[in-house]
This record gives sequence, structure tokens and C-alpha cells, in this order.
Amino acid sequence: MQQIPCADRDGVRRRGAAWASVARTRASFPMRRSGCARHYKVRSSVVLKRRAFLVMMRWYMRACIRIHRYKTARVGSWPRAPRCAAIAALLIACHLANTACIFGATARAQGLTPQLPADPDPSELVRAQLVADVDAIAPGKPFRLAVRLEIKEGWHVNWLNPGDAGLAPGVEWRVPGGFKTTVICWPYPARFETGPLVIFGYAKELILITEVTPPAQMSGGPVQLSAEVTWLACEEACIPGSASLNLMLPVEQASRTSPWSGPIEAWLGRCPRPAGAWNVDASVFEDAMLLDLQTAEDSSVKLSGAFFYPYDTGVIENSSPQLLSVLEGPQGRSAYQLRVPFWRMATSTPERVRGVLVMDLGSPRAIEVDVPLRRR
Amino acid sequence: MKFGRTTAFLALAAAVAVPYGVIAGDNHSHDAKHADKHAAIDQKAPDFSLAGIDGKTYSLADFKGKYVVLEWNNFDCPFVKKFYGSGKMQSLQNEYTDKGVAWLTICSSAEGKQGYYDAETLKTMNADRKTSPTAYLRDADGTVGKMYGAKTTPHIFIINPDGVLIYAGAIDDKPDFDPATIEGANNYVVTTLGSAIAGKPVAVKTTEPYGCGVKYSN
Repeated sequence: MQQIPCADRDGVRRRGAAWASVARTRASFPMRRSGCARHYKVRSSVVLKRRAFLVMMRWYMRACIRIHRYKTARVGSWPRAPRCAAIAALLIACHLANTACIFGATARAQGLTPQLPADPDPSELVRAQLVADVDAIAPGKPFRLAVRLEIKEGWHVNWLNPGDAGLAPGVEWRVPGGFKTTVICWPYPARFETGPLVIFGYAKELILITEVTPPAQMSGGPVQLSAEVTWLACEEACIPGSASLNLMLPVEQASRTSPWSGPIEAWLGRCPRPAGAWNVDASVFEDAMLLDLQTAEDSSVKLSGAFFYPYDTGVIENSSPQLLSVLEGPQGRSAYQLRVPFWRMATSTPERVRGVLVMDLGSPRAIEVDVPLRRR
Repeated sequence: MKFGRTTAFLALAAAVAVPYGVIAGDNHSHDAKHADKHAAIDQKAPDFSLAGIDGKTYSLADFKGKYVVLEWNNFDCPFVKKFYGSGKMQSLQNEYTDKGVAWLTICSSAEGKQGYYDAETLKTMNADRKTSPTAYLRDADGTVGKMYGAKTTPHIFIINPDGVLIYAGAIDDKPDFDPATIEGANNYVVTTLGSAIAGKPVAVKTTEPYGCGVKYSN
């Protein structure tokens, strides 16, 4: 990668000027003084090409002229002349095309082509809605209130632990006095690769749910429920967004189910559950933690994959694969071991392992993990 | 005669192809040079050379004997805007460059991705923001970013006068893009350089960085 000083390039430019066809292509080639030290890679290649082309053309045209003279002297005419000219034309076309290509690359490198498009409108990337699983609420009867984010194809929002980049969305629930809210869960996330980074989050849709219990005694008209939502939508770029959402629900003697109860129920299925029949043991082994998994469920249960998402950042190497081994368990039951590499830059290991283990048991199942990390 | 012309044509084809091939191969030599080096805490920070927007080339080795702060940057990232919009990053740059610390702002956004700009535009953007790093370096092929494992913007690396990496991680302990949280945050540039310059051990050597992902080429 040799840097060609400006003065030298100008020298090349002058020497080449005798050649009309070359001079024409050079006229369209930008020689901005300010861009002198930059993009020398592209420029040196242009100089090389130009030199090669000059030598080549000179040599070829001399050959043509010599052949022409020879033929003219011998037979008075030269039927091959058109072919000679055609090849010369082809070479010129080839050179022009290459120059145009290099010019294009240089122009892009210098930012002569249009800059990046303006940031997309956040409301086009994520549409936020406040929904409930009821169309009417009844005094004292709990119902589910949810913020639904509809995410544009190719974009995502983050989980509680965002992974290598990003930020989890935030929701502030606003309910009238006397109403109680209980945040239910963070649905388990998926992984998204962007270059060397791995993001934990959601694509297409996210429904964050809270359970609301109205007071036992209520009077009068409709109730206003609100939520303040902020999020960061990421694709190549990260664009923040926010919304103030409202929902009015009438109060009736008996609650009425809404069409949103289906999707809300489905998203509740993504809530991590207590470990239940699964026993999880965590220990340190070299640069990884080993999660030993055993189930008391019947032996037909087959675990075909698993991924551990820690609640805290800076615990695991997010982009490293987590290898699952099948071991011989007690009473002929299968036991499993998941190897979760620690974050490469970590200077200490945590006391406890806290997070969500997503297991592929034919269908995905997420269990909550909160166990001490044993040192072997 | 026919043979002669064919030979001449082949020679010409070769003359066209050779310089073009040489040029195509040239673009990759840069990547291979750094491929085997990776930054690790308490280890010698790998050396690199990058072109600054001022047209000069800067190497880490040039700053031997000084503390060096590497700040990964993408002016369009909301987390970066948090620190430049509030003036916090500029005040850190001022404070520490005045104390003889070299502050290198590095942009590893690939061409065509968020944060990638030509040097002229970046000069204007730096002037508009009244920044004062020692240099603003462009790393569009991501070589240095990947060598240091830069994940986010911002992502901070601090190197001591012996060339050893003494801190890698977040800029502070408030992972959000709300400028209001800067005030109460524990800023790791301040704590790391504060301890190190005073000759005390650095308490927190690594933290998980937060921010936008570095926009590497795919």
C-alpha cells in the first residue's frame, strides 16, 4: 500500500495528456486537492492502469501502422484493416469501462454519491398499541393489560439483557388510583446476529403484559388506562422511539373477553416458568459454566437444544455457541450438560447463575434459573 | 501472419489483465496484517495504524509513554448522541488531553452503514460538536475494531504508558441513552484514569459495554 503523493500524480497527468482519448476520460476523473492523501489505494491503481493502457495502445497502433504499410506496399490494399480498428476500439471501450468503474469506487469512497438516507421515522419501525384481554372490566376482577410493539421486518427490539448492543424497551404503566398492577414477565427472547455481534431480543412482535386488578368497589363511567413506552429499534442502525398510549374500557358487572385475549395468552406462553421437574446445577469449568440438566419427567422427553440467557450483562460470551451434551442419567433417564462460555473479558465469575434457559423439547420451553455457581 | 496477430492479441489481453489483477489483490493485504492480534486486559494492547480525518496516519506506538483512550464512535447512534449532545464527551476529551492523555476516537462503521462518512464530512461534524480528541480515525474495514473486540458505540479502551490495556468496557454504569443519567453515573474513564494516574490499582478493569452495535461490514 504505497501512498502516491499529489505532485507525482499530477506529473502522470501531464505526461498522459498527449493522448486525446485518455485525456477525455481523465477530464471526468476528480482530482480534488483536499482528497489527496485519502483513497490512495484506488488512485494508485488508476495510475497503474493508465500507464499500462498507454504502453499498450502505443504498441498496438504502431503494429497496426507497420502492418498497414507492409500490406499497402505488397498488394495495394489491406482487407484486415477493419479488424485491426475493431480490436483497437474494443480496447478503448474496455479501458473506458474500467475507468468508469474505478471512478465510481473513488466517488463512493469520497462520498460524492449521496450520503446515507435520513434516519427512518421511528413510528414506521415500531407501532405501539395498548391492548387488553377484556373489552369491559368488572370490579375486583383481574385482567391483562399489554403493550404491543409491532416491529418492521428486519428490525428488532431488545430483551432485558440486550446482548452485545441495544437497550430493553421500558414501560411505565399508568392506572387510576385503587388499581393494582403486577408485571408478569419478560417473554423469552431470540438471538439475532449482526456482523460479529449477537443481540438478544424480538423480531416482528413483542407483547409485554401486566396484570391489573381493579378495586372491588367501582362506580361510574369508563376507565382510562395508559402506558408510557420507550424503545430502541435496531437493524443496521439503532433508532429510539417512544409513545404515550391510552385505552378506555367501560366498567360492567361481568368482564367481556376481547379479541386480544388470544395473542396475550400466546405471549404468556413465552414467560419463563419455574424449573419444575427440571433440576439445574451450575459449576465453573475452565472458561465456561456447565449447566447440568436433569428431568424427573418421563424418559420420552428428549432435549435437542438449549440456550441460556443470563439476566445480567457481562456474564457470558453472547456470540459463542452453547454446546449441549447428552449424558447417562440415573434410572435410564437422560441427563444433559450445556457448556456456556463466560464472557472473554470477565475478570470474575458471578456467585449465582440467574437467567432463562430456553430448551427445545419438540417445542420451546423456557425455565427460570437462579442457582449458586459451584467452583469445582 | 495470422499466428502473429493472434499472439499479439493474447499479449494485449495479458497486458490488460495483469495490472487489473495486481490492483484487485492489493485491497486485501491490510486485513491479513492484523489478523492474529487480539486485545486482552492486562496484556500489551495490539498496535495499529489508521488514517485520521486530518490526513495524517496515527499508530498506537506513537503514543508510547502516554495514557491512551480509545473511544469507539458513530455520531448517529443515540447512545453516542447522549454523550456529545450533553457535552460530556467533549469535556472528558478536553480534561484528559490537557493532562497529556492521547484520546483517539475511532469509527469502524463500514462504508454505506450508519456513522460512515468521508473525512471532510467528519471534520465538519467534529467541528460542529466542538470535539477535541487527539485524532479522529477511520476504520471502515473494521480491522482495528475487531482486533480490540469493539462491540458498541461508545466502547472505551484505556492503555497505560507501558502499552498495557488497563480498562475495556462501557463509558459509565448507566446503560441508556437518556442524557439525564450522565450526572449521577460512575464514569469509568474518570475512575480508571483517576486511579491509574494517581498510581493506584484500577478497581474495575472490564465492564460489559452498552450502546449501538458497531456497524461492521457483513
